Amino acid sequence: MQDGDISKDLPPADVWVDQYGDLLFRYARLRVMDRSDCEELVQETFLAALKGKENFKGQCEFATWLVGILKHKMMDYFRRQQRDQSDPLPEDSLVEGMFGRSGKWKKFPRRWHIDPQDSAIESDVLPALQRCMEALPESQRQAFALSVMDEQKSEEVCKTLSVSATNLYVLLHRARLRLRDCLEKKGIGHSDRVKG
Amino acid sequence: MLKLPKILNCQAAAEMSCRRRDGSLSHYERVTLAIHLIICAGCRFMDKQFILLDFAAKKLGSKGFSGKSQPEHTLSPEAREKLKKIIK
Repeated sequence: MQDGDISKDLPPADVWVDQYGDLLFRYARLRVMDRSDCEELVQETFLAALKGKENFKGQCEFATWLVGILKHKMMDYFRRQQRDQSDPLPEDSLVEGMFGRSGKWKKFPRRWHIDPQDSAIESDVLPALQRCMEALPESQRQAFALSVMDEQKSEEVCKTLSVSATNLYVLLHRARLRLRDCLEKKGIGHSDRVKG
Repeated sequence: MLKLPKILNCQAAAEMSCRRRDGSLSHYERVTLAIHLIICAGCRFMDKQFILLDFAAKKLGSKGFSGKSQPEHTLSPEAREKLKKIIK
């Protein structure tokens, strides 16, 4: 986490919102599409922290402790949501449209001139990826965020999102194809890339 | 009799390439995917891009990005004021 106080002391509650509000909001926003739901989650987190502040013993940074509470609140939020339980899932026309009738790419992926060690990951790929994630359908975004971004086990993700293992794989596959396509359209990996 | 791996199309290769990342590919599927990746440059690029994508996603999840804060990634002034009234 970048912002927030690195002190392991409990900061006074009147500075919480200014020091940690945006950090928590950004964390939620990557995983939850609705802006007002994210604000609600931040509020729930602060209230829970206020109520349980004597449990903060300085064993970690205060920001990390707050994010831990937010994670629990988000899991509850995901569990509360109603989802499409149909099996198989309805078709994703955008993903289907990437391939012709014979199953060949309509537009072949291009080589990306970028490595995980490149500084462009931080400066270009992460902001673009965040934007591309925001454009994913909610179910795909949640599956991708929990499974890939947060590295949760698939059994846990299936339970939290109430989806079958097969559907989870379908959601992850669709999310990756959409993200790949979106990043390529933003010029990631190409010298003549367009920001956005 | 020896079962020869079938030739995949790109759509099936994309699905398998993803599923391999999530750890649920049989040995037979791994072989058919590997054969497709040898003959199809586009899918080879895609396969590498998925590795980069997962790497970037983990990084984004653990630390966010250090770019300038944009209004859509910060609390609205109204939400901030509301929270300040509640949290004292």
